[in-house]
Amino acid sequence: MITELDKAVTLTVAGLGAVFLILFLIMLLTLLLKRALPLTAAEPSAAKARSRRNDKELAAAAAVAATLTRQVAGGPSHAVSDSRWKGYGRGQLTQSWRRRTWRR
Amino acid sequence: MGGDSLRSRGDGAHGAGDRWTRKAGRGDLLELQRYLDQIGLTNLTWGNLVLLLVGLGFIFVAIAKKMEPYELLPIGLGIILANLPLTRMTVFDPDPAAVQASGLLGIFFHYGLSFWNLLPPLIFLGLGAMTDFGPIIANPKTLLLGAAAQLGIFVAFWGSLATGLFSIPEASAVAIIGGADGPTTIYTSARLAPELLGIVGVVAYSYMASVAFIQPPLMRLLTTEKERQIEMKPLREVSKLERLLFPTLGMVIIILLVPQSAPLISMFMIGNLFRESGVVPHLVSAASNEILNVVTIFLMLTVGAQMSAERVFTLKSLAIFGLGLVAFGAGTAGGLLFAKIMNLFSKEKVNPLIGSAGVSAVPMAARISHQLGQEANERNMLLPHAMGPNVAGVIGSAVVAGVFLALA
Repeated sequence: MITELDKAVTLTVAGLGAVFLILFLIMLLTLLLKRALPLTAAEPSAAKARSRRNDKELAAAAAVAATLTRQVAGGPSHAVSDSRWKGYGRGQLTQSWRRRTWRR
Repeated sequence: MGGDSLRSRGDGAHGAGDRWTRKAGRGDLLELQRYLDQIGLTNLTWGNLVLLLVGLGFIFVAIAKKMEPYELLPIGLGIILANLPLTRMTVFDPDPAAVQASGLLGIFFHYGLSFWNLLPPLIFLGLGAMTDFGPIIANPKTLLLGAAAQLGIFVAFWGSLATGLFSIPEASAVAIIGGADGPTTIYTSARLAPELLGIVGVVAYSYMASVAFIQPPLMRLLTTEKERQIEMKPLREVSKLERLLFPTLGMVIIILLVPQSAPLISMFMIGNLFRESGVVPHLVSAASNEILNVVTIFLMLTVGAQMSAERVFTLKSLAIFGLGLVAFGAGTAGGLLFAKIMNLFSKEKVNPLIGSAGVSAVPMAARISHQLGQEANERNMLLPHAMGPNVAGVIGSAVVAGVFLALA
């Protein structure tokens, strides 16, 4: 026959055991999911993606500005081989530098 | 002689009129007495008066101090309604022939809580739609802090039994106050000890409104200044897939192991899935606004209305007030101490202050952890970290409630 004390002990052990076991299992599952799914790596939010795109554009613009400065100051640079330069055309820059030099 | 006869006739007439007047006067007085017996004013007891003042106190605290106004204001009004005599507002007559004899709040109580126990799971639906599992997914260790903070429930359980006043189901209903989660407390109490529901619900919400006074002294006592200064790394971002999988798998695991917690846990996770799916904004809005608000009105009025004088002024009620405080204190201590134990084995330290947020009381307990952390170290941003154990505490208390419902 189950006494009140037995019942109380059972409730305590079962209650504490269940809450720790369940939350521990969920913790393990969460950790496993993070490892198992490559998709679980942080996906950038729209705002962050926009900010990153802006950063890239700014970096590209800064690189263009730096190269232009360098070229205008000291002639064409061979380092300027990035595909991003295609739009501007390396030759155009070189010609522009030549024209300036010639005028001087 | 004629004069005599006239006088005697006159006297006789006068005497009869007098008697009639006297009789009529007595009749009026009886009517008046009967009427006075039927009005509330003459039926007020000192217990009613005290509880009317308590109800007004709740309303004052809700309006003037803005402490848990959504709960304390309707509870206060419910207390007042329950203690205005002869209204029969809280009576429920199960006889179908006398269905009109039931009072409004009695019907709410019967169908909303004691018979169907519908209102607390609906609140959980709304809470789920408002909950962000991101902090738990980013730092799953905090789930264990939520588990440790349930210690308060078991301390209160044994405390209740030790008083000798409560049976095991009643002790379970009282102990669940330590979960610091109103709907879970009401749900469990309505099933295990409906006669204690009013006082248990009111004590739970009162202490939840007072965590800002209960927790900080204990948190300072149980942690050192150096521990409170511990800075935690910002949480990583969590993907949408993780946010979708967490409630789904979590719900399955919990319900498989503790089926009795299904009404609460399933509603909580369904609400959260609505939110995270991103495709049902109207359902999210309905769950977290319309449903939550409407249900809060009926639930809180009903809980307050259970605070009638004959139920409150008992030794048990007094004991429940004391045990509730013990439960909150022990839960806070459990979370804090477990965080300290975790720090002994973990390379990445956690600030023990976030452990106290495991008692639930969302989000006040998390805010208190954050405030105390900032007092110790201005650069401490503990709020996102504390939300982890805070939400884990909600899940933990629902799990314990399920175990109590299954075994008590």
